[in-house]
Amino acid sequence: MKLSALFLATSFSAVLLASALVASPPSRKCVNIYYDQSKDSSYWMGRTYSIFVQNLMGHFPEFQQIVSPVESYRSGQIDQCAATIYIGSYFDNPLPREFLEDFQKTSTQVAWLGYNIWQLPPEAQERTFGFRYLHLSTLDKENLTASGEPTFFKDVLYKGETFWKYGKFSKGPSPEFVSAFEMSLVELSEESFETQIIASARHNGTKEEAPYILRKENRFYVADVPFTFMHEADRYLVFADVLFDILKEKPRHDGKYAFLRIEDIHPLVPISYLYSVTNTLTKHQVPINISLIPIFFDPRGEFSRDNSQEFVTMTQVPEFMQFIKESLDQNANMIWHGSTHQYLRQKNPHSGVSGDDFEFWDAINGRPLAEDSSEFVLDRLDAGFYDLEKAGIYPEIWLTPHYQASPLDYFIFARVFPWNVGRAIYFNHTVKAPAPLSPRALWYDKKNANEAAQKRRSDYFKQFEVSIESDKWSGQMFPYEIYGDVYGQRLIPENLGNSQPTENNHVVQPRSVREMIADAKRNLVLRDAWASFFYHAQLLNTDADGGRGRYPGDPAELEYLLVELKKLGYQFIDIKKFIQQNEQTIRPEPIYLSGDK
Amino acid sequence: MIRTTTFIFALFLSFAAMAEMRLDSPDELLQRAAQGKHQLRDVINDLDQQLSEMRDVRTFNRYFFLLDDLDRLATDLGLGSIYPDAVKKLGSRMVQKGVNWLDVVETPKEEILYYHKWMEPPAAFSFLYAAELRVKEEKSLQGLKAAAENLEDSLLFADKKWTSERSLRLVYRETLSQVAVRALARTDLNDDEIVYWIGKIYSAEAMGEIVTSLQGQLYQSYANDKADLHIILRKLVAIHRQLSSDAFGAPEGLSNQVGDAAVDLILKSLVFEERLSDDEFQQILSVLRPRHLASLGSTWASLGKTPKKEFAGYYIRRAFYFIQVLEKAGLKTEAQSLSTVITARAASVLGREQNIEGSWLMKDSKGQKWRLVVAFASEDVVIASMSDLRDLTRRAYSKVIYDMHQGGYIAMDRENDLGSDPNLPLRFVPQEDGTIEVEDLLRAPGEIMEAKREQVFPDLLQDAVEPSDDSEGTDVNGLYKGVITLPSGDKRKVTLLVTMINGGAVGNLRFLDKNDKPTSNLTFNFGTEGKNGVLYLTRGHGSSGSSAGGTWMQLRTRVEKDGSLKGFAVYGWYGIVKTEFVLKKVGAK
Repeated sequence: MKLSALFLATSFSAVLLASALVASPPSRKCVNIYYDQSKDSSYWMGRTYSIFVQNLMGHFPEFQQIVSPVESYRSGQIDQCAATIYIGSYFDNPLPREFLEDFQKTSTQVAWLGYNIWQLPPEAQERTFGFRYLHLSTLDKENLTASGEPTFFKDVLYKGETFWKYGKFSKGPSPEFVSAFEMSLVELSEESFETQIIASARHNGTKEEAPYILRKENRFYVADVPFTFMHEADRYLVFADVLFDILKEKPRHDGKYAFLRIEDIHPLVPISYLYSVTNTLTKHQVPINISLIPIFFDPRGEFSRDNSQEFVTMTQVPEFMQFIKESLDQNANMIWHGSTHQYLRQKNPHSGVSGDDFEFWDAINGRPLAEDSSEFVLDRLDAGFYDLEKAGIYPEIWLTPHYQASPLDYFIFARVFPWNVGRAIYFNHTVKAPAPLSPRALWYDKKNANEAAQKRRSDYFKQFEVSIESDKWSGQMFPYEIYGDVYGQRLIPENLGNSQPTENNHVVQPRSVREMIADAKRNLVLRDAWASFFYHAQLLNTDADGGRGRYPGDPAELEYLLVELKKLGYQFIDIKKFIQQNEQTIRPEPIYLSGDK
Repeated sequence: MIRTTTFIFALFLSFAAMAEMRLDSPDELLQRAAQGKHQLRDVINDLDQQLSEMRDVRTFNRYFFLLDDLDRLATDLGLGSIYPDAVKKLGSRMVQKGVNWLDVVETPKEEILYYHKWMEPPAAFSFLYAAELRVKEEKSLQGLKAAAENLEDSLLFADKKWTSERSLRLVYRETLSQVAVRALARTDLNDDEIVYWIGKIYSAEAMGEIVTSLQGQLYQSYANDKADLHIILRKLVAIHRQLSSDAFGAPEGLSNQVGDAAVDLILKSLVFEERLSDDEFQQILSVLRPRHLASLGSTWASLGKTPKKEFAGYYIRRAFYFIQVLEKAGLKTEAQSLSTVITARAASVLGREQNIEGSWLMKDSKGQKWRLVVAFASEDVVIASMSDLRDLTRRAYSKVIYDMHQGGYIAMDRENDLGSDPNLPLRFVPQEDGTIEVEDLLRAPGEIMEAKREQVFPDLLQDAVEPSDDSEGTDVNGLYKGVITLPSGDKRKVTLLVTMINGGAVGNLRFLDKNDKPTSNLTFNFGTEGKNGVLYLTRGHGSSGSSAGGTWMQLRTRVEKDGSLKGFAVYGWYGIVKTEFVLKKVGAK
């Protein structure tokens, strides 16, 4: 069958399925995701929020995602799926009558996020949720914090832990207080015995509490859209946990997974630090995961090195290869972290040195690289793979340098690597993709280490057409593993960040290990949440040299992290086993209705 | 035992040498590189890693000369998408090493330029430093020449490649110039070689040293070796040519310095009467800027020395040419000033050549007879007088100049105290047949009178002997006494008091009666120096009632060994009184 015909077949089958959904329930569990498109053609956030929900749904691969603007709702659709989630992000977006009616009537699991709840008449609100909508909360500029910040319903209390919303003054000559202060304030009905307050919001000025997430039987209401200003202790994580309840799903694993990767390891990282790290990990029986950059490139001479070491591949450095070999002997797992983790001979944007700069993103202009294309991406991957293969390494996990790339790049990463790790950024986009090949056909692995596979990848990805609908992008982190985000990436999460001792050109927000541990502790209440973080070997430097050690090679801070996490009950898993156990698990391709794709 | 030890040692050495450099042959590297961009990358890295093991220039060059092919492969295979400028950077690192093997004298030019192709400024500085040291050791002219050729080609290459590296390009110039300076210091260079080496100086500083040296040579007296002047001229012209080239970029001050030296040279040639060929003169003038032309013009005009007869004609012709150059350059004031002097001097110089001194008789169209008397009042001054034979008109001319535009002579001017009306000028042109054609320019313009010679005056100035360095020459100050014959034939007793004033003699001639009482006197207000054994005293004019008769009178004498003055009286209206007189010195001043 010709590829063009396959295109048509794929699109047509999606439409057919959409039609079939009206007529009869799908054969597989599905979740409806509705978002506000609005009449404002410049409004992009509704779609982005739906992407965030889709991505979280990637933890529940049993569900078929059906995504559409709420404006295109047709009667009966809610009942076609096991669950429905509506994201009310556009203020007073007129909702279809059919939607409002079906939402009230349905016995399926439904969740309403954010605005427009007032479009249900008060009595319907009471009947449906057991509350009445009062008004939206505002910023309290009367009651200021000790540091002079306005107050609002900042804290979200959930299962005995306190999550909190972002709120800070921006930097610059005219600072503004930027925060996710708005939420719906509701009043529970006196007869609302069945209404549970799953999570409360607490005003950090007046200490007043208000319901944040409520549930009445099969209906859930979240008082805001929990995707604004996401961070490691955000109320977003509460929503991510409540999803289990919305979907009536059990956790996938009982244990608390921890995952550590040693970051930005290239051939010229001081060997002593590497050994110090791996020795520490071995001592604490923590699996070794190395984020490997196979080619070191320092085109501007910013790194302390010999003149001849401008461009060094891993196989050229015997001591480094010895370290790699010994690590592999200790069952270390290699994560492929970019081919050079920088871009050509220029600063992008810091120094041009491997590990510092972006490889697949124009960091100077904040957009995809001008030459972004499948040829460009594959060319860089081929370069790195050439050296990895010489070293006999075939990583199963890809880590995008600085997490940032274009949608096309992510689509490629999703298909050429079994797993990805970390966070990602998301654009509103459409894609015309060729029919999928078998999962392994495109992977960079031992079997595909040949010219035929190279050509196959090249030919396949040339057919991808990814259109970016809005140049606005947003990043998302995940508390748990995702078996396919919107790009198709299976993601091992990273949700604790890393130790960043000081603010500098690279680091806008310093982060301490105590913060990391506090977040990990808080996350214990979240189902399937990992304690996943990364650590730079350079932090074994002394403080004077930008590290955290009392002496060169001191692993004390890393040890602290390992010990404290274990004390909390986290278990550092063998990621290879995890990958083996989940080899086939991936979410089905989403269905986009009303022409959305 | 020793043999065995030696054998083992040699074996070890060769084995150790083989073990050091682990690099495929150049052909094998190229084959590997051609397989793909990643293999090319490996080859580049291999070369980089093994660079330190290349211990000799032959081994090094075998790999170094691969760079062009590798660069081509890098372009064809698109290596720049992952490792931009890989070959360029490798080339730079290789050159950093290989530059130490470059010998600016011995290494072929093509090889040096190939190194330059891959060179970055730091290696270029190393190259130049080594070149400087190497040249200092080089003794042969051939070796210096080889070094200069290599450096010159490298300089031109550097100018194109490193347009923003001003200091580096200056060092190229300095280094090459020092080679040239070294060569120029040799005493065995012929003219062509000198010009060649000057053409290799690109440094303003070095060139300035050469020019200063030439100026020093000019300041010395080279009267004994006038050939130096021509060599200096050729050098200055070569320097000027070099300074004018695009590659040099000479500073203003240096070009001016060369012009100054050229002015000195021209003036010296005039003063020391050294002829420059037409080509030489034109070439040296081409070196001069307008300010130099003006300077030369005003200095030339103030040169006091009148050239000797054999040089005079050349002198005047050169002056005429230069005046035209001044006029073309728009320096009309300077041209006029020099013209005033030169045309006057030209009159005496060319006048001697054309033998215009004497008295000439002619008739105008109305039949009126006229007498023109032309006389040298000094080496440089020619005077004339036009009288009708009826003795009604006597016109004295204190200045005769040569008309450089039309040829011929113009008698003009008269002394101011005769009135403000200018004298009616005359033009007279010597003819090949010994006559002269006279045109009374205002009285009868266009009417040409043919004048035949009446008298020839002895040119005592031509017999003058310049005093030697260790003598002050003749002292003509004093009182003289004797008898002078007048044009009428009468003999009169006279005394003559000669006084030197401001380098020129003045005289007072007193006529005595029978009792030696003074009756009348004549003042001669213009005289020659007298030191050279000749004394001319000229009286500008006289009243009509005097024996001088409204025009000038001149006593032209030789100074005899006994100090007496022996000579002739010349009258503007009459000509020369043929009877010689002797005035004995009777008292010193």
